[in-house]
Amino acid sequence: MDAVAHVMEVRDLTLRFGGLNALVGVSMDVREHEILAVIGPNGAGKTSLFNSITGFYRPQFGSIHYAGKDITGVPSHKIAAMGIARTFQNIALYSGLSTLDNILAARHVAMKTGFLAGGLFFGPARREEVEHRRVVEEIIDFLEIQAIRKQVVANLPYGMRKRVDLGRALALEPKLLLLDEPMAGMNVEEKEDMARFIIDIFETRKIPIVLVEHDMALVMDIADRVVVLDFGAKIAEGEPQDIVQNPKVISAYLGLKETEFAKSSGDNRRHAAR
Amino acid sequence: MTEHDTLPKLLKRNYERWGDREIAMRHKDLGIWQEFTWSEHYTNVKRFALGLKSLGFEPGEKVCIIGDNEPEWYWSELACQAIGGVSVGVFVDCVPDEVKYIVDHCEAVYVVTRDQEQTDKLFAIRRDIPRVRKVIYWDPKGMWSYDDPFAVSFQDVQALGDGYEQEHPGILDELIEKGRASDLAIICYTSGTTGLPKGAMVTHLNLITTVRQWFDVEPWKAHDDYLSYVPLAWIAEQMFSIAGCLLCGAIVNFPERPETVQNDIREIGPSMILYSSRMWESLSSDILTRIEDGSPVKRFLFHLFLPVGYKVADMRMEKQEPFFFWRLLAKAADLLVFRSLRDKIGLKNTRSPYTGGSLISPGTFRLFRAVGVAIRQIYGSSEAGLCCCHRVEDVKFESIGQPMPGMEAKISPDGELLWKGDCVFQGYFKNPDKTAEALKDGWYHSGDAAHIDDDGHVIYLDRMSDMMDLGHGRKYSPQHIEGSLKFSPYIRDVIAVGGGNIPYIVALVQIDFEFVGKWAEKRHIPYTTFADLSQKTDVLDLVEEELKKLNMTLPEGSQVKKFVALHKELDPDEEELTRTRKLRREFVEKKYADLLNAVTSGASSFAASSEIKYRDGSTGFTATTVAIRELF
Repeated sequence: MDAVAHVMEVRDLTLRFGGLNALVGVSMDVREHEILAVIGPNGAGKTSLFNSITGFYRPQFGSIHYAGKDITGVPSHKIAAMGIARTFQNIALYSGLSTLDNILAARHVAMKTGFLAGGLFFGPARREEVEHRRVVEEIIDFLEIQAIRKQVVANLPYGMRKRVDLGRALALEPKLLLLDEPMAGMNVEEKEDMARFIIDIFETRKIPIVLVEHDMALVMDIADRVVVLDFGAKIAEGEPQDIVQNPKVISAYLGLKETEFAKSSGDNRRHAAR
Repeated sequence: MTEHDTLPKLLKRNYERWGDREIAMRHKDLGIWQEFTWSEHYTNVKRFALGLKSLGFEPGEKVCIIGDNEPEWYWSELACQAIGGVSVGVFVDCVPDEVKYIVDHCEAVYVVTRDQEQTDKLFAIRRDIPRVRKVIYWDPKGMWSYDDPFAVSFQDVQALGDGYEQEHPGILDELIEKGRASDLAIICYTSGTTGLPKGAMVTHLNLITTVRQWFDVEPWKAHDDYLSYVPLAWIAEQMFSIAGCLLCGAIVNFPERPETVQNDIREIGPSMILYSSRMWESLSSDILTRIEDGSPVKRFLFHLFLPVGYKVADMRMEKQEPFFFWRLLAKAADLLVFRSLRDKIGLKNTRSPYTGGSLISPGTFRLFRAVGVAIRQIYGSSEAGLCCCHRVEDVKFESIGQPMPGMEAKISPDGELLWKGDCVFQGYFKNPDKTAEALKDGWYHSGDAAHIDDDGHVIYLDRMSDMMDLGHGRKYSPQHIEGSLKFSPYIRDVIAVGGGNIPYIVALVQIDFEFVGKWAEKRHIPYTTFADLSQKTDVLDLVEEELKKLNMTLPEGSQVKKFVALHKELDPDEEELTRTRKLRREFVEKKYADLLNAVTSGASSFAASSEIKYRDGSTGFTATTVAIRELF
């Protein structure tokens, strides 16, 4: 454990809404080269954890260190500028804009030219625009969304909007990517596409990815490590195979007997292929 | 011209002629049209060819190519041919088993693929294709974690080629010069609706002759724009976009992805285009849906002017020059509606829209002609190249065109269409039995039943195997008769019956109630029900005229002899049609057996009473006297 470099260290994170404990003393690490899955039943605090990391919520106790810096309570736009990008469970896009404009909008963080130069669109501003467009086009190519480049996001099917949301996060050129239920509400084929994109991002960009996911089969398939939350507390952490066997995890997923749980989680194809 | 008798020689000629000055291809990538000049085109071919050479490729060996239409496809094919190899295209939607059959059967030693999806298929069948030395992929996406030496990137092979070039300067030009017109260029696996696919062996001479003959009919100009969209594994695309564009120097344009073609085509505005009939049909339903979803004004204008389009298109088809009044209306229709519609579907600049593959439906054909896209049919095959096509000034709905100059067509005694000419292929690869069946005395036996009319138009009837026997060696195609009659707006459905104890063809015709009803109202012919209308003398005369027109296109002895206008509409509720409105032939023949008996007995009318099932489950009866008419 000590030999592994940590990109992010979360310590004793506690978040309360009035009398409700959303997170209770959660500690976890994100390693330099891993896909980490955060799982847990509904209301376990998974999204709260993400929101605390990305500065949407201010936790009452505990700390979050990212790349050696304390980022607890830092506002979300600064977090984004530090290289932590996320997607949202309920998709947060400008629904009236096109796919292209949505992804391009995410590049504003990286835009350097001032208001005047940008408005007049000459010299460096123009060159910068071309460069950003190139980055965005490469993302469009990567996610295979050329056909919807000019379409207004509101008209797109759900699975496609999820993909655009991922594209928006990638446009920030993140050094850590947080995916909140990237495959929720998708059909099998869309899920497989998304899983493939996640693995491809991981392999080409060589960045750690943290994802919240409900589909255990997929988690088993692509995650290196799993953190399990229940009622705001971390109840388990480890490799997917061990997590499946963990009695605490099994009882947290009420209604699933041990055998069913193991069956639904399938084989770990990504690891088997290595 | 004879010295440029192979595809690589043509490429070299174009490179020397145009070099960096002219564009050979465009490919939309990262949202921008990336251009390749002739010299870039040539250099890419050269680098890949020498790369293959340095891997140990020998003349006569085969390379399979699986991928969407992209420049690398062309480079792979031409590179392989430049060093004396044969290229074999495989459709991208083939499942691993089909890929296995073709790769194994053609004895390919390298397989070029586009991406991970196709490469994975080859990994899956790797054990069954021991001859294959390497898979070469040109899109590295998703291939990063593959460290198996079985798969290598296109770019790496090209880099090998650079090294080979330094050791053997000028070798490619020597190799290209060694190529002969009679060398195999491609093996084209026919889709094979029955049995295993057969590999048609096609030489450079076959391909180039086909295109030369084509240009005599339909000249293309250098720097015309061609959109490469139909699969390159299909012979038609080989002829048009590879041989055709090399021969005349037209620009090949590749859409960004197959699914973006509707956007990309608008930006290109190609001057010629080849779609399969299915693609035209889906485009037509796309247009109609978009019109219905459009603004009320657009919808109104479209429906207002569409009849004008139909009227004028029909007149032109009949080779009548429309009157001034109609020409004026047509002009207005074009300016107000059709021109922008053609722009929307990217066909504004299209001089030559072609349809190939299976026969196009009459409705689609008329619709496109009405909106000013003068679709023309071409007919060809892997085995005999482009055989015939519609000439601009001479289009007939029912025909597949007139034979190409240089192609000789004849009909065998049993009605099969035969072809002879320089385009005819060399036989099926490793399949002497099928070759002997297809090639007899230099004539290619197409397996298609057809006949040639007095104007030299070839009229396709059906596959030989689907023809019905009338006795005395006379055959006919029910589908052909039924399909042709549906061109008439007055006729909704037809069943052609004949054979067995009926020694001639009887047509049971269901009139189009709405259309014929309006026609009758205009002529002040009173009628009550469908049954009543269908038996009016004027209506029967009308149907008779339509049948006579059809008979003129049918060979003697296989014409419709008698007909009956059905007194009721064919109905899926009564199981005469399927829910998708396909005819249930056997059921209908059985149901109308009494009527057909009356027809054969020579009666001139039949008292029909038929049971009608209502949707609530109850039944009723109708009684009508149905006239039986004979055509002379």
